[in-house]
Amino acid sequence: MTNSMKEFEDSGCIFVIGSNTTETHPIIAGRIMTAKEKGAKLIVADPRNIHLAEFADIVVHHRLGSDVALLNGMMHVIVKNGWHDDKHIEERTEGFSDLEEVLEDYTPKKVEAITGVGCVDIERMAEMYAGNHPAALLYAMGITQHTTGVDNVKSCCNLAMLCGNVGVRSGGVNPLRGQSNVQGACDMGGLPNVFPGYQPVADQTANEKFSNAWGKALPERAGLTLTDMVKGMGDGRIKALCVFGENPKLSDPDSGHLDHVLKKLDFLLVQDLYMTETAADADVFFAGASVAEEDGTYTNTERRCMRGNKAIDPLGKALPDWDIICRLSSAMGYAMDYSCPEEIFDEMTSLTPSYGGMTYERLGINGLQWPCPGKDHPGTPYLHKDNFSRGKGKFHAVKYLDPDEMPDEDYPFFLTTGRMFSHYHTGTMTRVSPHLHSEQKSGYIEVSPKDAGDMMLNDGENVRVLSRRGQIEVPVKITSRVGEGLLFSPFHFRENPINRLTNPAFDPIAKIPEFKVCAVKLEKIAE
Amino acid sequence: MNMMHEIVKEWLEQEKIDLFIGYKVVDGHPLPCFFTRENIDDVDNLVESKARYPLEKIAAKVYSTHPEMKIGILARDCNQRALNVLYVWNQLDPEKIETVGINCCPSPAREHADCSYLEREPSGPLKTLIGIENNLKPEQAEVYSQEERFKRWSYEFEKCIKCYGCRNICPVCFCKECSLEHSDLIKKGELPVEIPIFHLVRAVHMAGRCIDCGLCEDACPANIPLRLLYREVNQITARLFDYRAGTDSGQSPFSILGENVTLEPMSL
Repeated sequence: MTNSMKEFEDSGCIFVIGSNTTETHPIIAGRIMTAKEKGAKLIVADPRNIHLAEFADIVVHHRLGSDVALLNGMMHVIVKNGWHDDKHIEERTEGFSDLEEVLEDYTPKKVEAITGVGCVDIERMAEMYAGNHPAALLYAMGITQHTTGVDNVKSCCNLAMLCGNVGVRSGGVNPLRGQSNVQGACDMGGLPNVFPGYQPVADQTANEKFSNAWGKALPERAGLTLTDMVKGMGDGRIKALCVFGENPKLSDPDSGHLDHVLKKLDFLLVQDLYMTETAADADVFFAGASVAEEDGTYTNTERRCMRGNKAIDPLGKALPDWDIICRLSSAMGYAMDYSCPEEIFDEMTSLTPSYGGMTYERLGINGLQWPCPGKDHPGTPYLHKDNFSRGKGKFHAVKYLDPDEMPDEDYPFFLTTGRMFSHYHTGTMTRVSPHLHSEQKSGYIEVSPKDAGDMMLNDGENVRVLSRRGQIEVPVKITSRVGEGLLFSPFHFRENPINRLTNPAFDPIAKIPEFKVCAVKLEKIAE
Repeated sequence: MNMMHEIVKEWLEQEKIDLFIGYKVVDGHPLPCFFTRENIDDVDNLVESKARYPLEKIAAKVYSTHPEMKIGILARDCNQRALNVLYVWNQLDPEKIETVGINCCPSPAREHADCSYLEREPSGPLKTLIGIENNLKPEQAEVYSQEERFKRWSYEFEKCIKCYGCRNICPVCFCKECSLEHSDLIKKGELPVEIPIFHLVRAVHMAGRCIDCGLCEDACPANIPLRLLYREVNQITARLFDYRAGTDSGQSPFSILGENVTLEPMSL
């Protein structure tokens, strides 16, 4: 996030798009409600009628995958009415005229035809977002998990810059990160093309720095993304795979295909808390320690690095993750002799400018937000205050593209996937918790009352769902949360593995698969 | 070593108690902690703490598996009232409990916002307009018409994210099977929670039990005025039965079916 959670309470307007915030980021949802009660405006754009929509000033349900069109439509109205921030655009950005040119085309009427959102609502959204400064834009996987994920994010940034909402308190572009430490994992170079702190492996200075520090010449070419690894396993280029704390057999798209390529591997190593579906196929399984059993740090969605301290020693044969990795590396011929997580942290901060001013002692109870480059630097609650990392903020002229797969005669329904509040990802942790499990014991598919009526489906009845990639059976949940022609199903449940159906088509840049849109058909199961 | 440390050490050494439940600062956070004879020097780390937890609920858990154990507890007024309720409902044996009383809001620490004896920040204008302000007294909340009260409370309940934090922190929530998790009573797996049944089921269970500690409202991430709701329920209990939970040592009017009966429903 460019900004901090607490700041949302003082926003003039909060625009939530592609985030089911009360269920997936409940504490941030609390901040949004407080902001609303203090007088902020709230706009919710989501294909489903989510819980947060109950509190919104404007709610729109745009068609799956039509985000670029919707955002361009809002910007069209803003520019036409002169509600944009000329001074901010002039002083802080570049490329506005290119954007302006593309926006010309996105009249409310055209956008209504693509998104299904009425012209009047598009105009109201534009006016509300532009007229209540500072406005914070919040998004989650509903924006990113598309073949146009990068375009969607760029459009969000365009909108924020257009109205001078970047580099200001309580504004910003705020992707809500889904895991306690996923921001930290990315910061630590858990991406194929960068070292810690987003220093590119292809950058000579950075590469030399890390090669010297680690006493080993490091590759200058980016590694593979997960999407490319699946391809690599398929064509035999990848022979061994290590999976740390992930259960791709349930969480990856087109999981039937993934099953198939996993079988081709010579060797599969899985490290997890519990025996997962993926771990069941592993040649070797390492028992990792739980959050209560290991020391270390977490960097959360607002870039805040905080310490986590173990409450108990690891049970059974489990070991802290860092210890397993060190032992594995040493066994493979590269000695890692760290005595504790703090030693690793200190090495990391010495090589990572944005974490450079952090020490365990300084993190204290509340942690520090990066960038924190010096020992006296207080950390950074919001980014881009005076300038962007690249100098000027760049507008990207983005055109709308259809999702990879659209409904047709054979597969007439849109299917979107996601989460529900009592479970987490593939349920490896939440389904073994009696209280969370009892809240929702099986998978389900949300069907609109109209569609359920047409097909004579009853609530709770098992239905067959088919896509071009596979089929599953799943109980029906009849609800007006989804409109006609739209289906939703969470991916937490191994008994109803919805990712057998999802489309592995991916964004060309970020390589993120299109979990949020695919075409399916429903079949009533004969009694 | 202060007076509190001396007392606790003496009790442990003289076997007046086998276990003391208080607070200790761990990594900067005051947390509930067990102090024992075996590790008696640790008593020097015992603190009053600015944070509050239902220590008596922890004691009740220990009692359920070790009924012979004598337990000492650090007790503010609210802990004391909660203990009384747990005695009345046979969740703890008063013969087995010793308390070390401490000031309610450690003076002059009135700044510590966790304690519900303090007033909260004033509500935002929208909450005042369509919701229920957390600082209202029961009689102030009663000025609205029936219809408006229902609307306002529904708005508050709608914010619930179903974290069960109110129940989990509650010192007097001890039913083996919780009605809130009973799928015949309340629909599961959806947000918003079923309105108003989810919150009213809990409110009914608070009648004659709630000791107004305010931990539920402190725990609530949605800022729902739970304390006010349960105060209303308890005013009715006081009016109809002349019974005040936590203060009256007699049986609760809701335990008419026998002393081992709790308020949980029979399965339907």
